[in-house]
Amino acid sequence: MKDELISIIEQRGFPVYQQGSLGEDEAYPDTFFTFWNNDTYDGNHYDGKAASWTWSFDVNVYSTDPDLVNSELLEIKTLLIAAGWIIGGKGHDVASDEISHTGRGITVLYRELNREE
Amino acid sequence: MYATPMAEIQDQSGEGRRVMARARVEFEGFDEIIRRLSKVEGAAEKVTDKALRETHALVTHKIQQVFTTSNMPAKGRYWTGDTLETLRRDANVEWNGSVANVPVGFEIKGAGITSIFLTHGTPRHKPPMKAARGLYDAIFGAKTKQEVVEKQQEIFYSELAKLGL
Repeated sequence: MKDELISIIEQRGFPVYQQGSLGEDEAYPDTFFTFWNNDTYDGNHYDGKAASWTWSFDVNVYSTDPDLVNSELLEIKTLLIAAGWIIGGKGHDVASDEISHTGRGITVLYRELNREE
Repeated sequence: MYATPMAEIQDQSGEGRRVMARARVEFEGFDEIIRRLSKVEGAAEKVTDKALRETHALVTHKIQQVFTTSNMPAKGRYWTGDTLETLRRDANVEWNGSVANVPVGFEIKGAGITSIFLTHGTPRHKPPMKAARGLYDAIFGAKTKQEVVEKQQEIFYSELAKLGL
C-alpha cells in the first residue's frame, strides 16, 4: 500500500519523501510531500486469520506558499478518496524545520482485504 | 471515537476542532450489538455515549502516566508542563447525525503545538520526534487498542444483558 500511496501522491508533480528522511543539511524543495505509516492493524478475522488490514498513513505537504499547502492537501484528499482511501476532515497543521515553509497533514486510511486462500 | 454501524472507520483530526486524535468504537460483532440495541429507543445512543466516555477516560489516563520527568526528552530538563495542560481531560461526546465521536489527546493551540512535534514529526525528524517515551503507544499502540476494545465490549455486552436483549 505504501507504493500505491506514493504513486498517487506523485501525480501532483512534487517530490515525495518519507517523513524524517530529509538530511539536516538538505534544503527543503519549495513544495513537497511527506508520508508516514502510523500503523497497520487487523480489521477483522475469519477462521483465526486476519480477513482485512487497515493501513493508517499521515500525508503531509510543505510549501513556501501557504495557499498551495491548503490546496494541495485537499487535492491529495480528492485523489486518494477516488482511489478508495478513507479520509475524514480537512487536515491539521504540522511543524516545519524551516521558517520559510508551512505544512499541513492529513491522516488517510485504507482497508486491504486478505485475498490469500 | 466514532461509534456507528454504518460509516467506515474514520480517524480524523476534526475540522474546526483541532485535537490530536479521535478514537473510534470498533470490534467484531459491533454491528449486531447495535442492531439489537436499536430495539429499545435511545439505547444504542446511550450505550455508545457511555462507551466513548469510559474509553476516553482510559486513554487519557494512559497519556497522563507517560508525562513523567524520566520519559521526557533530555530527562525533562526543558519540560514546562505546558503540553500536559492542553490535555483534554473532559470527555465531550459529539453527535453528528448517527455518528458519535469524542476527541482525545491535546488541543492543538498554544502550547499544544508541541504535541504536533510529538506525533507528526517534521521532514527532518521521524515521528515521534524525541517524543515523550511511550506517548505514541499510549494513544495508538496495540496494547491500548486491545484495552479499548475490551472496555467497549464489556460495556456493550453488559448493557445488552441489563436490557435483556
